[in-house]
Amino acid sequence: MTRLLYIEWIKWRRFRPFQILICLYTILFFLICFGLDDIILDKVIGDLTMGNYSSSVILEEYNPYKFPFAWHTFAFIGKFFKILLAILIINIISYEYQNRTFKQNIIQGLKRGEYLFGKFILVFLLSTYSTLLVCIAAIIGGLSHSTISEINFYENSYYLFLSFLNTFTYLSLSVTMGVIFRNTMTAFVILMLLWFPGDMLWLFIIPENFNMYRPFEVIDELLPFTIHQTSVWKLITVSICYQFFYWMVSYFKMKKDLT
Amino acid sequence: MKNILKTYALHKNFGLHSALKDLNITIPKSSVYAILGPNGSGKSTTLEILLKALRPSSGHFEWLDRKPKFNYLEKVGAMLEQPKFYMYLNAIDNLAIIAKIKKVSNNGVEESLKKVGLFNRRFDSLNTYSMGMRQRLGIAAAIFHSPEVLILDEPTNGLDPEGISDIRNLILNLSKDGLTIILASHLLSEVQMVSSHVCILKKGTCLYEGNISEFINSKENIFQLGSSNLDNLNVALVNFNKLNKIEKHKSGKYFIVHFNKDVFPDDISNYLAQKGVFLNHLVRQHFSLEDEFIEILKN
Repeated sequence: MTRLLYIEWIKWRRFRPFQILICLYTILFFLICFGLDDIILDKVIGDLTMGNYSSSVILEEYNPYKFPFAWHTFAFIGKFFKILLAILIINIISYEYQNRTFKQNIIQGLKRGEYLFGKFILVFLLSTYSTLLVCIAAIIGGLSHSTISEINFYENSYYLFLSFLNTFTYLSLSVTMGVIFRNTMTAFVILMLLWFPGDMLWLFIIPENFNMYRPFEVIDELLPFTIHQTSVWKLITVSICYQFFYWMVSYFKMKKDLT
Repeated sequence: MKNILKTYALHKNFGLHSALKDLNITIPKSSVYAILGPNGSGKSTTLEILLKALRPSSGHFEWLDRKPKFNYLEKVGAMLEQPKFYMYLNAIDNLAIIAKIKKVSNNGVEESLKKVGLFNRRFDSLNTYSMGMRQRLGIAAAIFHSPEVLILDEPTNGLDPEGISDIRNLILNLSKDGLTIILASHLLSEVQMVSSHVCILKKGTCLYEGNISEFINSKENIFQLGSSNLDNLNVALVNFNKLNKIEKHKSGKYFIVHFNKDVFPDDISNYLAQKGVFLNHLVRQHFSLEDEFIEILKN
């Protein structure tokens, strides 16, 4: 375990795309979270303004930057940035295939399962990192917008876990794409195509009752804009099933020859 | 001599093309075993199967003194054609990754880098290395953890003459220490200089396997013979009872004559003197693997 972690660490700490994408991810996330909060607030308040409530009352009651809403707000913002991490993961997997270092690793005695487990650790750490950023942002944002007396700190904090699952499921799929297509551009374009028209296609294939469980819909529904349409436990179970499926596909694809 | 590795009817197909057909080889311990063949004869395929990078289509191989559940690849140092590294990392980091993969300490790293002459460049990114230097690093990567078996695919590819001679000496020294070395090459002169056993491959079929000295000595003696009067020489030689074959060299200045194994220069000059033919050119042509190799491939 620590051995595989150490291998991944030496491999990628000086990898330019790794450094760039992680920095970009961190900076952009905080920029959007705190640089644009006025605009976001205006937009949200605009959408919510209705009936007899004046916008200031709504802002007082439902300010998305306040606890307990902050957890959900920042997790929701965070979910759009996971695409940068997906690019990173696909890039890493493609690099190892195209530069033949994957083959070299196997020749030197790394088992295929160990190799994939290294990638699992990497995905786990990246998801943890993204969750950590959401957590930091939520704490900073939440504390600065709430008054101490009304803080209900732990309510809704399960959104952190959902945020982790959201990123983890998506990155697992990215690993599978990378393993199957072995090329950054192809893998990324196909991932995007599966997302947009692809996700619509499922509507015709699977029965209506299960529409909620389309691969990308599940990922998306974990962190919806307003409230969950389906029970959270169902979503969590289904997304873990998907993760298992993605890793299995990667493993069996990897079992084949290396040429 | 104890054997270390045995293959049983290895086959490998790439689509319809079969790269390896019914390969049965036995590799003795502490030998320098050369797999020899022209391009596309299945040398690299064989090595990649031994290294688990390819799966044979049928057949299997086994390491003979292997304990159960033992990952032998950790005891094998390998360098395949054009070794692949993480190009943005330096030599030390690349070898550290390999050490972790093989679960060995990286104590031998600096010494092996000195052996291949890369010690001064060890902290430079591999992007700045020349092709020959990457090749040398490949060899350092194969030997730094003092493996029991060394597998090298075209180890001298892309090296300058000095590098080639360094590698040759390195192989000979390592083999003296008891290492088993499996080597693929199409450079026959190379193989002749370092190896003890040879397997000749053509289109995936093994044409000859065995001890290299037996292989060379089992054949005839070859001489270049010239005289001021070639016609007389020809007539005299044709009557020599231990003659196998006679042909004129392309230059037309002398004959290339194949005699039985037990014929020596003094026998020839003695015989010819008796016939009144005197030689102005007598060279014993050292039998080379190259000729035999080309000969075998033709048939």
